[in-house]
Amino acid sequence: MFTYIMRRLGQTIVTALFVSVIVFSLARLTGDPTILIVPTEATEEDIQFFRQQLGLDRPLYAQYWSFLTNVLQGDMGISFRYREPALDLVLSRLPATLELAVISMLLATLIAVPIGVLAAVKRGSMIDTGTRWFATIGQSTPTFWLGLMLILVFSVDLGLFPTSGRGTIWHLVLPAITLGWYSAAAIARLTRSSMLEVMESDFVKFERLSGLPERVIVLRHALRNAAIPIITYMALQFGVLLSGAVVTERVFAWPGIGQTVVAAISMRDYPVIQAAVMVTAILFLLLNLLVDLLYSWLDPRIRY
Amino acid sequence: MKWMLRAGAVAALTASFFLALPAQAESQVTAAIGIDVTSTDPHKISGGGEYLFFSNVFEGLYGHDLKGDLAPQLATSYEASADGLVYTFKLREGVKFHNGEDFGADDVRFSWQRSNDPEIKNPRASIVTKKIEDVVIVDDHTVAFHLPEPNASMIENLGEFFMIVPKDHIEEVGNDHFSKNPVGTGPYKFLGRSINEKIELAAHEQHWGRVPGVDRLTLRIVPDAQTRIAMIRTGEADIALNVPPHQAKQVGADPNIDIVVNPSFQNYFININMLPEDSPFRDARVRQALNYAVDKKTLIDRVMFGYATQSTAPCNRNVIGCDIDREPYPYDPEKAKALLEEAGFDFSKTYNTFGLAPGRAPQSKEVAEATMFYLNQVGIKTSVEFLEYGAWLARLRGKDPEFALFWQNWTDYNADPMGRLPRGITKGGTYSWSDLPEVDQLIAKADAITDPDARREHLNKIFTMLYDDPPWIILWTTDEVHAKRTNIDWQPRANVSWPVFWKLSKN
Repeated sequence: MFTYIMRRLGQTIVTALFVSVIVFSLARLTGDPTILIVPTEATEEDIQFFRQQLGLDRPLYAQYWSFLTNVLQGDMGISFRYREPALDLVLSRLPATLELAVISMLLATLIAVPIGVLAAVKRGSMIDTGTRWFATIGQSTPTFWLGLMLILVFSVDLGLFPTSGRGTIWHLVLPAITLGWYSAAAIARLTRSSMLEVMESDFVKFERLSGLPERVIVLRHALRNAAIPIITYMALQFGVLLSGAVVTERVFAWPGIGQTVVAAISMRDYPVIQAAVMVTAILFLLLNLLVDLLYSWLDPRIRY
Repeated sequence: MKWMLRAGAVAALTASFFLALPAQAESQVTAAIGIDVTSTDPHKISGGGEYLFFSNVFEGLYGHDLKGDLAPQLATSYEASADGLVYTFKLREGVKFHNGEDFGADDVRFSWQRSNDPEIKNPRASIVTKKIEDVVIVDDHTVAFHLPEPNASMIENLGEFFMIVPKDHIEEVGNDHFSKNPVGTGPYKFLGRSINEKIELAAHEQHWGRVPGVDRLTLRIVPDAQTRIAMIRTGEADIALNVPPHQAKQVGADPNIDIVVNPSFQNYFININMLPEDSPFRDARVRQALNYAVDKKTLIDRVMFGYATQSTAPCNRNVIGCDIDREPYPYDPEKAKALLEEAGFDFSKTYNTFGLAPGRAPQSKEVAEATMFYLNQVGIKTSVEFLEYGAWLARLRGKDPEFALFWQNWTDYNADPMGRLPRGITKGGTYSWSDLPEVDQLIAKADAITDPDARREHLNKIFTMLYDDPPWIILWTTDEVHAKRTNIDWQPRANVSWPVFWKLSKN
């Protein structure tokens, strides 16, 4: 187990290095940031001065080398726009993003797994039909539309929740529902199909024949076996949420990573783009490792 | 729907350990704004939109009053020498910085030095402060600016490009601390910010003449216009800036909401590429024809929803020299066709055009598309593509000969047009696609004319020539459309490109 974790951590480093090359090059493909920093009245000398100050006049390989050596020392550079350490900017947005991601994932799981299980157990019933409807509608609802509708109904008309921003617990409700909606639909669908498959398997038939109560079969044995694809999906989805839910954050003026990254991309703020991608990539990789370890707990046949 | 609320409550409780309730102050106003400032240091301003913050917190020696007219701020008067090389300012006495320190001549000199300091990397230094050779302290309340050459637009630009910062304070706390904790003389003092979330301001009670009628002002950063509208409808925001023109009427129908319409300095036009030697657009008749071909009135009604004013030149009529003795080009497609025929225009070619993707300027895409429709009506074939801002700007600067036309907006910082004419019109200027040698000569002379009346006349002549031989399709000046709750008394500043909250109270 220990050697496995060490090997995986090693792979994580290699992948992170690979990500650094990609994000470094992609950021530079977006165009020249200097013309967006200087005002329209700026002279050619101003532009040259800034290009030099930002180190953009140096050859690409030299820029990459400084970037890489600085990253290894935990320095992601200074934001071109905010003139603050890029890593601090990104990390200061992380709590808001984590908060929203955790709550919406929790919300999605608490709703989706039970209804997915029920739909599978009571196949063909009203619950099953309802779940399938929910899965289809949920996955095809545009996030911005859902967010705006929730604001219109629950904030403007009913006055139950604030429209936007972060502050009290009530601020979380609408964005979490908006963000969790899609995941809930997807998890419900996946739980249903995964459970159906397991319920048809031989060991369930055997358990039934041996007279185990249905409740124990479903909750203790079948669900555990059906959990692997669900957990895999949840981890992937959670990784996506961590990189910032751009649309939800925009609609609810939620000060998370997504908004910061979009602003950084449109302003060609390379250090912030790089820091955000590196941070989320590393989080994603660690999350993956965690999920792999979880597999062996769920299914003891999986051993590393 | 009940399950949703319950689920919401569960989610909320789970999250409660992350959170704390914000404290509420007395007479507090919340304004929902679309974009955040980047730096809070007035010598590190990198975008025009940031003046929304700076013109409430900082001041220059001169600036603009609520009517948009040039008015003294931290000075009370100035005198220019006959050769236009020395400007002597009498400074306002009894002015206090937000930290209680007195404002004086040494702060002016220090601010000039700091603005030009390469360490500070001020992107805007070249506009005013670098054109000043020395700032001499005559006495505690008198300073003299020595210029290497006359710069008649300097006074108009002091408010935006030469903001005054406190010398003693910065020397004590250092530049880095000051950048994050700015101290100025403006009507509001800075309390704190959370990037992309909010900026907290408080009234500067010791201000020399513009103490706001509220104690606290919170600028909430809400990028989505629909959310800003929802906020003003629920009362979470007292003011919502930049309501999309097509929704203004509907929002204003709410009895608790007033729509505030403010003429702006933002202009829409279609720029014409006169640069390639073989360009058909080098012929003045062709460019006039394009101006006749577009029905600006209908576009203003249908695409801008009435929130724009047709113009004779791409400038607000309050811009110095812009009130020319001409009527806007009427819609006359027949005349346009005749002029094009007369000029031997090549109708067989497709002319490439580009515009700005939606999101940054209201209706930018719709305007470009509708304009191209009118050009097609007189037989000009066009293709149009839309770019995001950075790419649009890069192409604008690149002067790609493949492109014949492009949608452009231009916002003047203030009533002085010389910030843009040399760059936007003079051949070779950063954003210029024009080739009008006579106009270029006049532009080159404008800043040497120090007599305000003579200069106004000179600029008027330039704009008249730019009407008669237009390097663009002149469209209109847009209005800013904001919304406020009816219990809010607020007057944004007219004819300036961003609102101020100097006159603000809550009933």
